[in-house]
Amino acid sequence: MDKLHLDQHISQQFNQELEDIRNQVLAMGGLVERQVTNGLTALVENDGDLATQVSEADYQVNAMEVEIDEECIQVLARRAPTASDLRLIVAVIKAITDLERIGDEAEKLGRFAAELSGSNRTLEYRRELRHLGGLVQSMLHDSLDAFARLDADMALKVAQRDDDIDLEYDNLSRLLTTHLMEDPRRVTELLMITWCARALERIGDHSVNICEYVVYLVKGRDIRHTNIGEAGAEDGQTNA
Amino acid sequence: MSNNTTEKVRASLQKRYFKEKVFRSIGVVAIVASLSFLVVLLGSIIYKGYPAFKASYIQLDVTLTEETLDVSADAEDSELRRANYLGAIRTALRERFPEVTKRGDKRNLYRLISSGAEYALSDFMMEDRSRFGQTHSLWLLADDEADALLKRNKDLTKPIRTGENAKNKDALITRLNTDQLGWLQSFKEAGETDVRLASTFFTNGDSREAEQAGIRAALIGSAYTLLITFVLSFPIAVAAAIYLEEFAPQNKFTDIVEVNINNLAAVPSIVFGLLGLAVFINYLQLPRSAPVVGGIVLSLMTLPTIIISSRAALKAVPPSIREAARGLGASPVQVVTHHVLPLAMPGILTGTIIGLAQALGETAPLLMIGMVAFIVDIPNSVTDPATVLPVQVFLWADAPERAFTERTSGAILVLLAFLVVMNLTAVLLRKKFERRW
Amino acid sequence: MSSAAEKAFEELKETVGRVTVDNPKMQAKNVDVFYGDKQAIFDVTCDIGKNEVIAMIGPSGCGKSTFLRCMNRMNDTIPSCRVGGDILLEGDSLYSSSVDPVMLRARVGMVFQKPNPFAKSIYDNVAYGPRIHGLANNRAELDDIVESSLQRAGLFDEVKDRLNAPGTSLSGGQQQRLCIARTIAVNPEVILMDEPCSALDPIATARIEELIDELRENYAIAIVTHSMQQAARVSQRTAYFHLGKLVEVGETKTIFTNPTHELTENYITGRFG
Repeated sequence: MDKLHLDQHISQQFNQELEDIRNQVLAMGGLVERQVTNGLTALVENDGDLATQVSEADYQVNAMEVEIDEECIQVLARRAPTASDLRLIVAVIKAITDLERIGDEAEKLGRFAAELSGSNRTLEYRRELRHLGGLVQSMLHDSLDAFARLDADMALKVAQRDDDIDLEYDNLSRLLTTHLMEDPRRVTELLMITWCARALERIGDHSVNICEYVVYLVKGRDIRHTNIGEAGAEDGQTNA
Repeated sequence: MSNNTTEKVRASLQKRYFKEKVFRSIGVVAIVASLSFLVVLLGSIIYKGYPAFKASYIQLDVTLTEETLDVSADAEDSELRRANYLGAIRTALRERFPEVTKRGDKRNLYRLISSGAEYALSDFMMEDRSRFGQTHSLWLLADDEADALLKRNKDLTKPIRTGENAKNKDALITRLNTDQLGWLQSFKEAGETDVRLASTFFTNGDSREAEQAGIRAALIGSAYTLLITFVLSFPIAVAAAIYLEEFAPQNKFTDIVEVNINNLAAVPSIVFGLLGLAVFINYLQLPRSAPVVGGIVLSLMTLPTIIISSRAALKAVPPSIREAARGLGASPVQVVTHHVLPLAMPGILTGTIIGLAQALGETAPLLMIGMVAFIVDIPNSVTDPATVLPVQVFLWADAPERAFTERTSGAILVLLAFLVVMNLTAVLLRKKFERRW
Repeated sequence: MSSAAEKAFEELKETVGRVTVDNPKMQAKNVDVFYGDKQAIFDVTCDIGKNEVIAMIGPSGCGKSTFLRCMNRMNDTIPSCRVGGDILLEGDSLYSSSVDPVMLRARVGMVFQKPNPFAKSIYDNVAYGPRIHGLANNRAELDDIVESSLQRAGLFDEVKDRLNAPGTSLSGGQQQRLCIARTIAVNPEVILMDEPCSALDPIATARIEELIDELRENYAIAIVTHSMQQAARVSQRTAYFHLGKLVEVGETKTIFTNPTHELTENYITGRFG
């Protein structure tokens, strides 16, 4: 079953509710993605205004989470969804938690960017984050894409990209540690940059979670805490 | 939009209410019409029939002596019973009216007292032999023509409606002549006439003399006939209904049986009478005029009624009860006897009573098997010759004497009373035993 | 029905999911049921395990009740009804000539859609089965059976003071529990329930469901229900019927979160199908 047929319920009202929830999740995903991009830009381009804007916009993400949560609870209470509908609601409830966390991480990026924007001294270090940020951005984008398209195969592929992010994070950590030892006067700034790298790495992990929910939603299988590569291979076998 | 709807609805309302009113009033008119028919019918029967429950008596001083009775004081009982009581009554009448001397007049005088009075006198004598040799003041039953005038308390001094005063509305309609009216008036003035409740109507059998005719024989005959009908038709009909409803397979044969039962209910009852005559009397040599044959014939007639109503009652038992019992492992017979039959019983009994009520009112088939006989004696068993109430009504309605008219209506009243009681029982039974499930 | 679902139904060759269990009480094997020349059930194979509740769901007229009624031969009384294939109880065929339906129904009890107590007292309602089967030797034994049956049906405390009151004087939920007590008084091995809660309010329904769960300790139970939520609550396995075919059988937890067949999915999620 590749599609969820969300519009085929006998109850039109139910169709509408599920459609609303899905659209809101996608909107929230868009908002979070923008936050991450802006946070990263503020950090790398040393844009203090943008940084403040990012850290102040986090309340929107939180508000959306609360709103979607409320709607999901309403559907659970009144529609008693089963099978794919149930999986959709469960996946949404979990996904928005991760999205909210990503929002928090983005807000963190914004906050550090604002603090660091006072001087240009650390800009060259901050630019080291550009590569990692690019990887994380594209992964978040693709995982949200997989969610929007309910594409489990894509989700599995996206989830595997977390390994690259982890590798890049390790490299970056090592690099920043070297800088720290070389230039102990900039400990505060360098620690902040490390934390930013850490935040980006966390965003990658949350993206993996979202991918896992997509697989659960579409295939009804829980692949959390398993080897995602194996899960994909197994799936390939059953499809063949 | 909605305003438009409201206006349209309002416009149509008046018309709808008018139609409703018309419909209602048609219903009320129908009910009033049928009720008034009933009132007229019942009223005329009651008006005509109630005198049948009353009888007029005339007081006479009767001397019971060897001379008047033509028998000695020490005669045997049987001899004394057959003594000339008629003579004693006639003597008493002559003594009461010594001025009557002519033979024809005397005969007219004698006619004031019922011919059955001598048997009453005989019974009176035999009750206590010591009454012999004395004069007793006795109330004797008046003859039917005299009875009719006395009961209705007519003014006996009015002219008789014959010949010249045929148009006189006040005149008396009677077969008595002026002399007889005079004597009667004399009794009346002397306070020697009395109107009492007519026990004879309920204790006597049929009689050629209207004032002595009673419905007892017919009542007992009806009771015996109904007993036979019930004993035969109830078990057979219930068994047939249970088989057809609960056990019979659905096939051509049961369809044919079902159609035939329904047709049987519509067969004219006289056909059953003919059947009874041909089969039970001619072929099986059962006694003629007997309740046993009447009962058999009537049960043939009642069977379809009971079968159809019993089937309806069985059908009305919800299938869920049968399923429940079957689901617990009750065998088909247990399902029927433990659950279905008890629940259907009130309906079955109601059907039975209605069938029996129908049988009680039936005349035609009984005419064919000779239950139309003139029965004076009260039947003692189901094989004794007997008649039944509706046939008695039929017989009396045919009799020429005017006094039989009131007997006819009286008998109809009794018959109606029984029918009402039976139908009431049916209703009460249903009310009482009807169970909700 | 959407054309995709129609196609899926036509292509359905055999039931999806595992129809057998390791420890079967009853086994239906390739059961076909005909009413006259109209086929109501097509080649249904399904086991009922010991100490399990199996729920049968499906749209109206899908044959689930017919199938249930085949399992204690309640369809015998319908003359035009013909059953093909075989149903085994503890390995013995129900439809062999040596099996008496009366005997069978003492082993496979049934509870119906509408509470249908007899027009008798509460006591007599429960005592009826043991009486006709001669399960009690004397009055004291019968009293025991009645009391324990009412206890197990969770009704005893409510009616102990009025055992002689008519069964019909109870409320709908109590009546249904009385019917269950009446069924277990015969001590059957399997209990078939045909929409036992469809006429009851939610509280009475909850009590019956609780009771079903308790009864699972001693009996195998098959329940037909129109309420998917009820099937989800009470059963361990669920069977989905569609137009006389058994589409899917599986663990209830799987059926209600991730059914395999599209028809099952459509039905339980309330989609066009």
